[in-house]
Amino acid sequence: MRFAKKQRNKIKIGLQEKLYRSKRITNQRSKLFFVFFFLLYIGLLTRVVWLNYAPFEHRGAQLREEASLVWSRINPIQPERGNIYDRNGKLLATNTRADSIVVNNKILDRLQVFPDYENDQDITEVSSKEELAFILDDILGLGVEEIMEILNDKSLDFVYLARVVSKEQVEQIKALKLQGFYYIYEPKRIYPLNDFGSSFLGFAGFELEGKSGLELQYNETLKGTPGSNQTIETISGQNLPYLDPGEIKAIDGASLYLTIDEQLQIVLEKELNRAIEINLADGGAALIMDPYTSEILALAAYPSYNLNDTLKYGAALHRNPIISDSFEPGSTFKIVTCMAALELGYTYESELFNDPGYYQIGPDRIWNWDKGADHGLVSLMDAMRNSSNVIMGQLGLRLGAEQLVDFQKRLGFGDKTGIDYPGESEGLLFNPELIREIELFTSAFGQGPSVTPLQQLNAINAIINGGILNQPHFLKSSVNSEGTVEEFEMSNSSRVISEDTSLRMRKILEYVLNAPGSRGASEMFRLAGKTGTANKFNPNTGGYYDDIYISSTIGYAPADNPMYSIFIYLDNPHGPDGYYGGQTAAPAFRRIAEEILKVSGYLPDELEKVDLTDSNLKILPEYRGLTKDEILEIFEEDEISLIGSGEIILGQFPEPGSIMTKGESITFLLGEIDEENPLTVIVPDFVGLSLPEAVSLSRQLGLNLNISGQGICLEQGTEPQTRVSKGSSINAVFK
Amino acid sequence: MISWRFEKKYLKNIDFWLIASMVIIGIFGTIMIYSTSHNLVPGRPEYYMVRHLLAVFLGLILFVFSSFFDYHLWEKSSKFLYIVMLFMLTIVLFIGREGDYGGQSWIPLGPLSLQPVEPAKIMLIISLAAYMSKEKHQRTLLQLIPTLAMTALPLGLVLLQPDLGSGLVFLAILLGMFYLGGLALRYLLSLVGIGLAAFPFLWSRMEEYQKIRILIFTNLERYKNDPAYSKYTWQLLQSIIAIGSGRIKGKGLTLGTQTQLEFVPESHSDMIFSALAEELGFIGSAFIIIVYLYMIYRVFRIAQRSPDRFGRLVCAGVGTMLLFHLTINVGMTLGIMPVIGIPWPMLSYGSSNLMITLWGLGLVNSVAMRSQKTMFSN
Repeated sequence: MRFAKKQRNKIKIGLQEKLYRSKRITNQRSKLFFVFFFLLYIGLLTRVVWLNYAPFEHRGAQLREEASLVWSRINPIQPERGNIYDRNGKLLATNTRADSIVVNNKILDRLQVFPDYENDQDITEVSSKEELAFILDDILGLGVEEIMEILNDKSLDFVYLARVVSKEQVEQIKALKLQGFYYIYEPKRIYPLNDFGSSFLGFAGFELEGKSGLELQYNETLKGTPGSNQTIETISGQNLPYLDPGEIKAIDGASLYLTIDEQLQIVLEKELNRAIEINLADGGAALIMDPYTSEILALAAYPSYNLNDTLKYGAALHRNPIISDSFEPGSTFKIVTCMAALELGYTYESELFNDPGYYQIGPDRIWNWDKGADHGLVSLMDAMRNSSNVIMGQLGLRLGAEQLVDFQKRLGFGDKTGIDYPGESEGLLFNPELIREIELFTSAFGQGPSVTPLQQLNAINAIINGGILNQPHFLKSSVNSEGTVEEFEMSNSSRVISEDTSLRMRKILEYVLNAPGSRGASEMFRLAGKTGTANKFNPNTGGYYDDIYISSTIGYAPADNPMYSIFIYLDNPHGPDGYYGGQTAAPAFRRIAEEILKVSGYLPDELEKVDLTDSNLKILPEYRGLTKDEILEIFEEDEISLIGSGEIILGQFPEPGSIMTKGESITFLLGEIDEENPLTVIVPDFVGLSLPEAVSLSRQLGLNLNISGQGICLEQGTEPQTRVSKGSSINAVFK
Repeated sequence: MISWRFEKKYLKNIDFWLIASMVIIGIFGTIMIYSTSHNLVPGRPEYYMVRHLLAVFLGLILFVFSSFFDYHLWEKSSKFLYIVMLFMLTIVLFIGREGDYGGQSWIPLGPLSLQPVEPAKIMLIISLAAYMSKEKHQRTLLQLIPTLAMTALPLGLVLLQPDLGSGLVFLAILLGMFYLGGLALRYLLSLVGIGLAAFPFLWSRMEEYQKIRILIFTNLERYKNDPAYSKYTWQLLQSIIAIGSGRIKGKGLTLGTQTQLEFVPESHSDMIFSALAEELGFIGSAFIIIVYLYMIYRVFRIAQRSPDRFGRLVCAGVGTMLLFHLTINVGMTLGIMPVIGIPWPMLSYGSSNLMITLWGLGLVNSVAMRSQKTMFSN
């Protein structure tokens, strides 16, 4: 049956197939056909492998790279740059934020145009970079050519198109839905006090990179470590959070606590500007240091500039004259010569010298500053007081070049002090082997060598602090983002002179500054120091100007207990007081010393000089912590004044341990202690208190007083009875 | 002679390997469509997959229907089908909606859409097979004219849409059936020669974008950096980047960055191979291509077992159609074929194509069920 059917079919097919061949042919062909396609697909799959692994530059690895370039975008997360504070936590530099626009030119180049596959009406179709630049210029106003330059910048993956732009501009550009454009809300450095500390803070630019000063010096510490996150976007810019590859956290920069004391800095800037104005000087600078630690407590240079507007100023202002400028020290250098001669036993305080007013070296006659006055026999003390070139020169000859230059080097001259500040200069000393006799003579009184103001003051520190030379520094401590505090460690401290010589030099310096009629002497405090006047170096001739001077005063206060060493110089003073250091810089020195001692709550020296055997005097004990009733049992009502309300004595003036005369009134500050929150302070009423009283009381309470003016407190910025946290700043106006 | 009787042996004759490879391909297709489409409609990741599964369901009904009915049913109604085909291809020119790349190609039908050109492919196969199995007096090239005309008519209508890709599918089907049907090679080569001679004329009739695509195909390196062509090179370059970044194991389902992030347009439909190669790597793409080729191989095996010439020609037509789709589709994503927008049957998203593919495979299965055991025939 089946066979018959088959036969029938065969016959049928036989009749049909004239044009077409037999079934056998069909079978053969379908095999052939299939083999052909099978081989074709081996070829196709080979191409898949080829695309992945072929060693050609635009295949395999590069395709993978291109794939990731397009979809994943690594967004840097900028760390917060560390703040800068003064030693008491007063904020000097911090960050705010601003919008910027960034463009990825690689994406831009790959797109060429911005494809519009979805017929999305919202997507801008821009077919050339020129067209794009015109559109962007309309919004940003940067100039078409400038924008083209940015769009063609291949040096970086991401190029800033515009920085610190307005919210409106960002919105306008976002509305264009351009691909390869990104918007960053990034930090910007601000200096809350504008000009304050401009001489040393330096500034950080838009990338928050330190550009000068301490911002540059401590850039690595401040800037932190950037983190990143990857965002993944579709071609239309839609974020795909489910493909989140994670985020590397940014590590914020450490904050710096400087050795700078904001209150001393205010005084120094004010007094420097005042001295420059009075003396019609071209410029000047001043420095306050802690003589025992070489901490920079305040540093001012004229002119100052607004750190928030640094683009307006030229690079010259970024130079710190105290650290980077070296010049002839003049008479202040006599301290070094005198000290060296004392240390080596080549002279003593009461040794008598003949000072005819000049000294003959071969054909050269060297005069004193007072040009020929015959002083006759003078002691070493008086020679220093007179600032005698003749006698200091002779001491130099006694010491000899080797020993004089050796002492200069020991005190840090001719080399960097190692201060933590960029751009320090070394100055220049004579080579003792090449020095001529006349150069040895003049260098002993400060003509010839060049030194920086910082070197001078740091040498004075060693001379008065007992003989230890320290590394001057700005940094007190840094606090990293985890709160770990790292104190500044001085790299080198060494004894350079004996303690004995140091004490003898203190007496000499106090004697020198307190000469009759000295404008550097204070009636309130014991001060010590030396004035100087030097011809200004003329960079055009390589010599010195005859009629342009640099007038300086160097010294410290108080004389018997050095707390602050101070240096001030004025560039070309030519006001009513002339140009001598004693007339121009010395009064400024005195004012600075008096002001900072007052601000620091220092009592005038008269009180400390009193005789303790006198029964009218007593040392004030500690009364703080007692109640109001207990105090009234000890004192009569008219012996004391009570300020504030409350039951507990929180502060007293004078402070415990002070010496007071009988009948002098004691001020007690009453208040309450918040048991639950010991870090809270109730602001007292400062109005009516004197400056030292107010400073003392605020310090006892743990408040920071921002002082303006002096005298009696007229008003205060924070209302009395306000609760503030410990360490808060209170503004107070004195008159 | 249509046999309405259903014999038990038919079930035994079902080609297990054909069904098995279809199931594997169907599962892969569904997974890939989900992987490539789940972020296209925000908040509705299942949107495209549900529509795909609906088409699978309808396609399976067609498959079962055409499997169980004697395939001679289609032979008898081939003239009617041919007229329906012409009618559909005509009315779509008037009421059809525009597709993604121009051309009035589809008619909306509820959640799915009908592209008349898709069933037209099967209808053309049936019509050609019916005619070619009956013609008796063909001795010269001129006698091929009726067959050529039968193809030319729907081809012209398709080109009017215009839909070049489907037109090429029609031509491929015709040539495949001529070749496998046993047409003497000299005739076949003559036809190919005539076709090549007509190319300049065809070129002049092509749309600008079609010309550009062919130009780009001939020299991608030259055009890829030319902004004027980037709209066309973009898709291809992104596809090549996707395939070239997949490596051996791929990046994992739903993790192919090129395709997920829509850098490869149409990755759920025409460009699905680039998604496959990126996400499942060489292993995945080689596996699915091998299974797919195996499925087509089974179709040709069934053609050999076919009890009659009509069945053999239907199988040859369906096999050729699938091979052509596969080759053009995969080839274009690899940059070795011009970008002609035709889907990869059962893998690309597209309900019409999926359903008619299952219809065609149902016809093949029907032939298989009604064939003699292979051991007797070869």
